[in-house]
Amino acid sequence: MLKPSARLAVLPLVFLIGVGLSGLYPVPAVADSGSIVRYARVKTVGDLYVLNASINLVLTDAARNALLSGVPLVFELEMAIVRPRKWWPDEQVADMDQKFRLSYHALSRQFLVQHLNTGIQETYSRLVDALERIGELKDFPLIDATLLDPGRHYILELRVRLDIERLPFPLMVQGYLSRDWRIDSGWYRIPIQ
Amino acid sequence: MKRAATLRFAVTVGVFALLIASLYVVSDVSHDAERFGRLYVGLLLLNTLFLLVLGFAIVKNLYLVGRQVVRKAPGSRLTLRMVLVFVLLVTVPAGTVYEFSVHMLKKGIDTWFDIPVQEALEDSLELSRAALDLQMREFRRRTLALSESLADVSDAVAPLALNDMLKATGATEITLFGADNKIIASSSNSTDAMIPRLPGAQVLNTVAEGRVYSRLEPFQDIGLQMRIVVPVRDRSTRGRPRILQVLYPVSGRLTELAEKVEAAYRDYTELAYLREPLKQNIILTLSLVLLVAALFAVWAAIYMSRKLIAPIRELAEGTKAVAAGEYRKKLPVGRRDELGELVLSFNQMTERLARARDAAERSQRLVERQRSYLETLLQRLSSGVMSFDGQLALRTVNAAAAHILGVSLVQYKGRRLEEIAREHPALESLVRGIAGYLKSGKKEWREQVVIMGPTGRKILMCRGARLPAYGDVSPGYVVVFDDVTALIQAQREAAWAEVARRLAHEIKNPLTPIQLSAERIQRKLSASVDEKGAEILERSTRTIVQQVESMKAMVNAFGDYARTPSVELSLMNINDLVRDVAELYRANIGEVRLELDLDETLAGVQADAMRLRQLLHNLIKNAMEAMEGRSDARIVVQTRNVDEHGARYVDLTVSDTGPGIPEALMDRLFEPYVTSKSKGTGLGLAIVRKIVEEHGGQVWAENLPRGGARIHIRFPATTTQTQSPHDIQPR
Repeated sequence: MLKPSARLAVLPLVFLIGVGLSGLYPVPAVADSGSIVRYARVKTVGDLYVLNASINLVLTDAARNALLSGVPLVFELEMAIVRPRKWWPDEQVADMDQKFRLSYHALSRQFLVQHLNTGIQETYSRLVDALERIGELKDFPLIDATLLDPGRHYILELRVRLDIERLPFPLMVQGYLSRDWRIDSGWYRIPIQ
Repeated sequence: MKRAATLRFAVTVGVFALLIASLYVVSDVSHDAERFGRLYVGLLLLNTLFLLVLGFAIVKNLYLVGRQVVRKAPGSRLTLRMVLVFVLLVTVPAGTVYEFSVHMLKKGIDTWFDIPVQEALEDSLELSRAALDLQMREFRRRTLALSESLADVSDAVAPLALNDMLKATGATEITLFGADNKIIASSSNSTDAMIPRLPGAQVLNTVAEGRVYSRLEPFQDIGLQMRIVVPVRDRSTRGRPRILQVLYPVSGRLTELAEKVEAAYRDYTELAYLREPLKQNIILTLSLVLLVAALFAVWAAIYMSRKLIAPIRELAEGTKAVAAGEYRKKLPVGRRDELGELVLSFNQMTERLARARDAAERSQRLVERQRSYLETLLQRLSSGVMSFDGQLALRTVNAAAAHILGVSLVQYKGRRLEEIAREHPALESLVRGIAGYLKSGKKEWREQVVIMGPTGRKILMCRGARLPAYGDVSPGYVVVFDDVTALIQAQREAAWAEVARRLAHEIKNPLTPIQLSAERIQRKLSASVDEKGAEILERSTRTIVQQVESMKAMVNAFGDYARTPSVELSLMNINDLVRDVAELYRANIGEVRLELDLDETLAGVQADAMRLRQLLHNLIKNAMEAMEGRSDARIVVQTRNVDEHGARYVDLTVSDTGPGIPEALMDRLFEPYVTSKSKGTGLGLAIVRKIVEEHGGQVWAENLPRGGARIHIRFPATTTQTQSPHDIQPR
């Protein structure tokens, strides 16, 4: 067992290390980019649950600069159907991930959005259009209605975020530590009727 | 314990090596980000965690060292100094290398990126754009011509027309949209692309307003394409026009070059953008490496310092313990270097010290035992023993000595003989008797000394010897003495008894026949001689008879003197006795004046009344006889209490006004048949001395300055004596 004084003596060291790291990666006062799920609706089309959603995806300055410098950004649209349980973690019934790769083509001054799940690439002159494309879900098929117990209550969780792990290697530490790189709508939860 | 410590050290070193290796991996930035990204961050976190642990360990160790310094523990200051030196040796070069590395890194990376290079790349990109623009203008012109030709083509025949156009123009894809943005017809030169590549909704909207949209667009499968979207001017219909989209491929060589430029530009700008994070990453990694290495070195320095100092500290503690008299301390020998040898030597030294001390203790105990044995022996001895050093200071004295002398001498140990004699005049005679021998340094001597102690007159037989010096004890003297008072008295009495027996036998026996014969001669011859002869006969016979009678009386008296009567002591007051006897004499004292000078507070005396009475008779008679025929005859009997040498005595003196004692007789005055008078048996004063000695007293005679003599008798007093002689014990 250590003397309290010895335990206290560790604090300056922690502080120093903290100061050192924060000096390397200054944390700005502003929060993340302000990305948010505008709306999301689940409806049935025949035996299928489909999702219509719009997410306002906003890039931070750092991300925008990186994109314009030729760094591709990967966004992950995560959807999950969970069944809430009392006194127990929610049961995950299904999860669907959509990944989009956003890059800038300097020669044509076009923004390219590649849907990584299908490989389809689309071209946009304006960044907002490209972001709109990533955040737009139109009649996205979620799950077959027969797979869900009609007597039970289910929730759809939805979020979009920048995939830090797919950033170039030198940016990764920043991506993990700095809020400059936090692009995350946060989980949006709606019940499935 | 030791093995565990070594293991712990080895584990720590292993962890350190692993961390350095991991940082080495991290430092290789050319790794594929997707595969190593997570590992990279994980390793950084792991290293940071280890840094914390290491920092904690260092702080703990420093705390321990600091606490020891504050407590002034042995070896702590040395440890602190070593730690400081080690830390300095580690951090200064490491810090210097670090500073240089960071500096060169920053400068180096920055020099990779050149403004001219960037400008050149931008220019070439611009050049590509300009070249493509030229082509674009051409394609726009052609597309507008196509839209003119399509103006009169109905929707039904549009697919055929589009197919023809595709072949004629060499386009990749031609699509016609209706007013509601629905595809009317589409033609493509590739077989796999079934769905036309649609423009964005905004593009269609802008074109519907009458503008031309032309844009270079990269495609994954078909490379760079020119997308030209134009409205189709319909003469038949009013309202929203149809829209024609044509995708032209950029000419092969141009595409290749343009894409190369584009890729180079993109790579360059990406690298340029990433250089700051890259620098930060490298510096971070470098810092971590430095911190890990430096902290590990510091920790190792502290660890090694403490380990190095440990035997020294133990030695210091051991030395302290030895200084404090703890010789049993054994230090653990854990090394094979010089320190280990030092510890070994220390252990040997303490062992020898302990052995020497034990031996000394043993011999001291032996000496002590012998001493106490001798002491016991000495104390049990009935003879008094005193020893002195060279300066005649009392060194030892036994109980018997104190008992015989009647003085507790233990407290005078170390005092000089003369000083003791001054405080205890009772010992003065003894000191006077033996000091000469002691000072002369005679090897052996014997001497009989008479002392007047608190218990009366004593005759001591003293034997002395010189003590040789031994060890650090200076040479000295030992005096052994026995109380021979009783022995001498008994001898003397036995001698006188023998004389008396002889006298009775040899003298007294013939006296009766002599007397009878003389009387018979007178009786037988008185008738036969004449008157004159009868008268002579009668006178001679009477003389014979008288002398025989007197001779008989003399022999009887001597018998009385020599006989040893048993003395019956009882407490009595001498004053009473004096008065009794004086009363007897007052009646028939004639012209002599008898004066009494009695001390009324006189102390009691243990004495035999009959013997004392005889003593007084003898003294008074002696005085009267001495003053016979003198006119101013006067006898003074005096009693007094005397305090001397802490003991009480009763003095009795009888003074006369006679002629005094002739000097020649002074020494032998109290011996039998020593007299200056014609009358008397010559035993008077001898009997006096005998009686006095029987009572443990002292008697002496002196001539008075104004004429006359005085007999001085001193008895030990009893009433005031709080201590009996037997109570005097050496403390």
